[in-house]
This record gives sequence, C-alpha cells and structure tokens, in this order.
Amino acid sequence: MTVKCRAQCTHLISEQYMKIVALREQDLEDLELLLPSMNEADKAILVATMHHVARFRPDWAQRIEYFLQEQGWQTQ
Amino acid sequence: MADPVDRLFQEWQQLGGQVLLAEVHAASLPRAPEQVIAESTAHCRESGRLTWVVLDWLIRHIEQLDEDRLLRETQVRGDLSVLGLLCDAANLRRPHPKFERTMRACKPIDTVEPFFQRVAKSRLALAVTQQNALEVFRRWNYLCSELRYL
Repeated sequence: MTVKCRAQCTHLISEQYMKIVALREQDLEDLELLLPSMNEADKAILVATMHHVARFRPDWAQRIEYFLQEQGWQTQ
Repeated sequence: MADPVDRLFQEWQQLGGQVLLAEVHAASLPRAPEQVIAESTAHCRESGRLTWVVLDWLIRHIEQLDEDRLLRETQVRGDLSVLGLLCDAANLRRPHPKFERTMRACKPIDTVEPFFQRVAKSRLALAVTQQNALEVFRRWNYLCSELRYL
C-alpha cells in the first residue's frame, strides 16, 4: 500500500467512524454503501481504532461496537 | 433513472432547491412545485437529505405556493402527516399563515413510529432517537432526533 493509499484509507475510516458516532439518517444511508465495500484489512483497522478510542471516549467506542455488531461484525 | 428519490432530487434542483447533484440529467418539463412537494412527502421517510431539501424550499418559497392545490396533490400522491410535519417545522423557522392553514388540514399518523425508515431498522439508531425525540416530530406521532435547516 502506498503512503497516499494508506492516508486515503485512514481518512475514509475516520469518516465512517464519525458517521457511526453521529448516526444521523444520512449517515446510515452512507454507511449502507460504505461498510459492505470495506475489505478485511480496512475492517481490522476500524475495529482496532475502536479499541483505541475506548481509552478516552468509551461512549463513542461502545456506540460503534453496538453498531458494528448490528451489522454482523466480530468486534473482539 | 429508476430511483424516485434520485428523480426528485433532479426536480428539486430545477426548482432552485439547495441540492448538490453528482450529475444533472437532461431537463424534462418541470412539474409544478405543489406536485413535487406532494410526491416528496411520500418519500421523505426514506431520505433525510430529501426531507431537509423540501423543508428548506418550503421556508424560502411559501408565498408562491397554492395551498389548496398542495393539499389536493398530497392527498392523491403523498402523505398528509409528513406535509403537516414539514409545515410545522418550517413555521417554527419562518412563521406564515399558509403553513398554519396547511397544518390544520393535515393530521398525525395513528400510531407513534420512527420517522426515518433506516432509523427504524437499526436498534441502536432507534434507541438514540427515542432518547432525544424532538417535540415537533412528536406532534405528528413521529420519532426523530434531528432537524436540519439548510
């Protein structure tokens, strides 16, 4: 993965992250399209980020975990 | 363009709505705003973006609307509870007698429901919505925790 690709990927993941935290209707619409397009590596980064965020925003991390579990993801 | 919501976005752009489109399709003859609003009320619960565009347009263009025609069109092809809600939310932002008369001609749905269909499908989103349900939506028996003025 090039540096540019990695930066783009990280940006997309943080965008999805904030959409799950906000959870407005239009975020749900975007997540319907974005989440299924993620590969296993992207998913692993998102879950790892969630565990990192739990250290300083456990409420956000819990919301993200519940949402991903609703989508059938393994979060442990 | 099979998706009715996408087609409505194209029409809202033609009518001067605050909508940003990835691509603009060849313009057909524009319909009357009353018809586009009426049809939009049937689809607002599928799209927050559509809801906020219609709400914004109503606030900016209420003077040019024929309220009797709007009510007739909505009875035929739309949803009067959604029209009532949109006029209520618009009236909060910009009070106008036309909004009030239209609201009086509309009635809430029979049972309390989440306003947006996507929210209804997610237990988490629904719980957040129930905790923060806004009064203007509750008046029309809807549950919704967001209201956007563009």
